Order: sequence, then structure tokens, then C-alpha cells
Amino acid sequence: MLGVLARGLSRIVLISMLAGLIGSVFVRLGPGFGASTEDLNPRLSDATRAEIQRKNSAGSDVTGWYAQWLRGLVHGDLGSSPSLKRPITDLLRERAGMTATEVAAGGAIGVAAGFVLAVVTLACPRAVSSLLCGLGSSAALSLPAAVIALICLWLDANPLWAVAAAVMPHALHYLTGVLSASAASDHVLAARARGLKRSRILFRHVVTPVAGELAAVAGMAVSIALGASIPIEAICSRAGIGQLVWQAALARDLPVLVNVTVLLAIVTIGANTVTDVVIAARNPVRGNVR
Amino acid sequence: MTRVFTAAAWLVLLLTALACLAPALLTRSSYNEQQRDFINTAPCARFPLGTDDLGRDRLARLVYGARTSLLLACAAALLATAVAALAGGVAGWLGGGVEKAALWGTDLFVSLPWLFLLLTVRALLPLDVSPGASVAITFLLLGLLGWAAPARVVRSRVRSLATSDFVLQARACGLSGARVFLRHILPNVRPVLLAQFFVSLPLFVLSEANLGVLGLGVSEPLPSLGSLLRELQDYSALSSRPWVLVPAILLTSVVTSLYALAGRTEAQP
Repeated sequence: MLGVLARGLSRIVLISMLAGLIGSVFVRLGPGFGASTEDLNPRLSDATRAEIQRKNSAGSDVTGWYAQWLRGLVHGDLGSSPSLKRPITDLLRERAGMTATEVAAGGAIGVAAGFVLAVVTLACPRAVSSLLCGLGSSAALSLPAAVIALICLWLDANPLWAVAAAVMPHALHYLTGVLSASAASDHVLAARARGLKRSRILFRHVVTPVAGELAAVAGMAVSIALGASIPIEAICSRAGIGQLVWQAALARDLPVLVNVTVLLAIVTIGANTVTDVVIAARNPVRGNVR
Repeated sequence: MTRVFTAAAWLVLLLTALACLAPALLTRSSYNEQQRDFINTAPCARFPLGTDDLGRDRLARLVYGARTSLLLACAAALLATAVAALAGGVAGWLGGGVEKAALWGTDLFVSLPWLFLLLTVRALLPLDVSPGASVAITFLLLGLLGWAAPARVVRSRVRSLATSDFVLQARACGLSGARVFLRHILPNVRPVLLAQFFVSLPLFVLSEANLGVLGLGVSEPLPSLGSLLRELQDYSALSSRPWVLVPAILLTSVVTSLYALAGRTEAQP
């Protein structure tokens, strides 16, 4: 388990550093880097304009910018947002709480709903309820998160329900597969042969052994919920990280995008590492294989 | 039940493809023709889905929008599958450092939410572009950013093939590495690539729709399913104009059908 944790932590550090480097390269190579609206000001003399351009293009080598960004990161200074004219650390701190709540609560509701629907589908595969579950999850899977957010607005519901609706079909799909495999295993066949009740077989021998798989779904749910939160927060006007990403994309605020890239890489890989550790703790053989 | 569902999925896709390939069968209007005397009209014989706030025929925009989105998704899926075949194939065949580097790259791409990646890279490119250029940009973005997950599957398949008995025998017979790869590995990876192509299609249609709703997809006046969904933002008017929901219904039907067919392709041995 410690090995899994150490591997996960090294992955977090290396991939987030890689994300930062790639983001920095993009910032430098992005069209319009160093350009300023002041360039078009006719009141400025050529000397002033040249001075502004010199300042804007200062540190234009990637490695220098990256080293500066890393130094700032160590001291908790992520730079400043050109479009919002505010320190990026403050922007992230103010908005992280809302997104974290939406992702955690919406993701948990989505996974729980997926789990319940998967059990219902397995318990009575030919019933109308299972058919409705399938149709509902197909519809949710086939709608863009932005449209789910619009439906949420229309119904005047909390946006975390939109996050839950985006996560639920993926959890249902995965858990249905896991539960079906569990139901087809030998020990379940033996339990049936011994004449155990259907409900007892379902909950004691099919559902309980795969409860640990919920950890794997939780890791997957974090990434899906984070992705869904961008259009949901943008459309529902929620001041979270998703809305910040959308605003930064529209305003070409590249420093904000670089820092959010690193933050999301850390959160997603962190969630996957926690999942790996939980699975390794429950089942050391499988954990080491992963 | 599965057969009925698959047949329905094929029917939806065939009808949509027919409408996209031969739009004149459904409408004689252009998607950009503005009829100033018919602004925001309700459905009628001349305009079966009414007109929008610029007097454009909604049906024409829907048909041409579906064509843009579906062709864009097909082209992007083809590009993503080609990149995945190249990256995953080379990584799985060569192994060692190349494989590790490829895995790190795919880890990075897979660990970041897909829509976030699209938005970030889109932000690096000009936002005020012509409609044609916006289609090309969206297609390239989807294709070039969607390779990571399929590449992992391809790498895994190539890795298992590289250690299989028939490849060992081919090598023992003195065939060169390139010949073994081209003649014996690639043909066996084809079913995996086909499955990845079909799996990517609904994902790319949805991604284009998300980008379109957020205003970062295909630019006006060219329609796409995503840009048509922007009308839903005026949700207060939905009860008086329910026909604006038709693009969302078409999108859901098409994506559900694509998922159903992708599931069947994946399930095939």
C-alpha cells in the first residue's frame, strides 16, 4: 500500500510539473503573447511604445518563465490575471470552495444514484423500472453537460444536480458491468444451488463483494464532475473554478489557464491515487498489480 | 429488446445521414437566408419548424447543422484514431523508453478533464475567425486532443500481439521489424481501431455541442448542433416556443444511437 501511495505521489508531482511546463510553452507560443491594447494608442510616442513592448516581452524564453513560475509556486504566488487584474491565488481560493462542494456533493449523489440503479437493474432486469433506468441514463449520457445545466436552470434546481446527472450514467454503466460479472461468478452459482433467497444472494454475495469498486467509481467521478462543472458553472453563473476557466478562455487569460491546468491535474491524479490506495488496502494483490 | 434497440439506432442514423447528405429532400431554404417578413414565426407549411429571430428557416439550419456536426465528428474521430494508432502502435511495438514516454503523455492528457483541455487550447487560438476556419479549428482540436485514451487501448493490444506466438515465429523466420509490424501487427489491431473510432464519435458530437453552447465552437452563420442549442439559453420562452427543443431531441437521439452502435462494435471479438 505504501508503494502505491509513493508511486501516486511521484506521479502527481511529475505530471503536474509536466502540465506546468506544457502550459508555459503554450503561453509563450500562443498568438498574441506580449501584445497590448496600448500598442494602438496614438498618443504614445515611438519610444514609449518600444518600452512597453520591451516590458511585455521580457522573459519570453520558456525556461525562464517556467523557472519564475516555479519559484512563485514555492512561495504561494501564482502571478496575476491579466483580464481580471487580480492575483490568481486569490481567484482560486475564492472559487475553489464552490467547485469543491459541487464536485463532491454532485459526484457523490451521481455515484450513489448509479449504484442504486445498477442494483435495481440487476435485481429485476425485465421490469419496467429497469427499462426506465436504462432510458433515463441513456438520455443523461447523450446530453451535453451544458444542456443539462440549462434544464437545471429551467427547473430552478441547484446546479449540483446537474453535476450528479452528468456523473450518474457513467457510474451506472461501470457498476452494471461490475455487478453483472459478480452475479455470474461461481460462488453466486453455489449460493443459488443451495437455495438461498434471491435478496440474500443479491446483497450478501453479489453487491457486498464489489462494494470496494465504489472507490474506483469515485476516482472516475471526480474527473467527470470537474469537466461537467465548466459548462454548468458558466451557464448557471456560479462563481467557481469552471466559470473562471470559461472566462479565462474567452479573455485569452493564459496565466490563469496554466495554473488551473496544474490544479486540475493535481486534483484528478490525487483522486486516482486515493482510489488506488483504497483498492490496495482492500485487496493487496490487485492493488500491486495496478 | 437489444435487436429492436439496435435497429432503431440504425434507422435514426440512416435517416440523419440521408438528411445530411441530401438536405434538398427536406428543405429548399438556405441555412443563411434571412426572411425579414417572417421573424420568429411558429411552425407552418412553409417553415415546418418555424423561423429564428433573424427570419432563418429552423429546419434548414437543423439539417445543415446536423451535417456540420456529424461530418466534423467523423473527421475528428478519424484523425484521433490515426494519431492513436501511430502513438499507441509505436509505443507498444518499441517498448522501453518510448513506451514510458508515451504513457506519461497519455497520463497527462487523460488526467485533465476533456472539456477543459478543449477550452484551454481553443483559448490559445484566435477567437474571431471565419466560419470555415472555426470548423477546421474545432475539428483539429477534437482530433488532436482525443487521441490519448484510444492510444492506451492500441498500445495494450500491440503489446500483447508483440509477444504472441505468431509474431515470435515471424521474427524467427527472419522478417524485419517493420515488415512484422506492417504485415502482422497492424491488420490485427484494425478491429480495435474500428471500435475506438465508433467510441469517439458520440464523444466528439457531444464535445462540439458543449463548445457550441459556450460560444467557442463553429461560428455563425454556419450552423452546428451545438450552436443551435444556444437558443435554449432563453429558457423562459420554451413554453411558448417548444419547437426550439428539436435540435436537443435530435442530438440526444443521434448520440444515443451512436453509443448503442459503439457498444456493439466494442462487444464484437
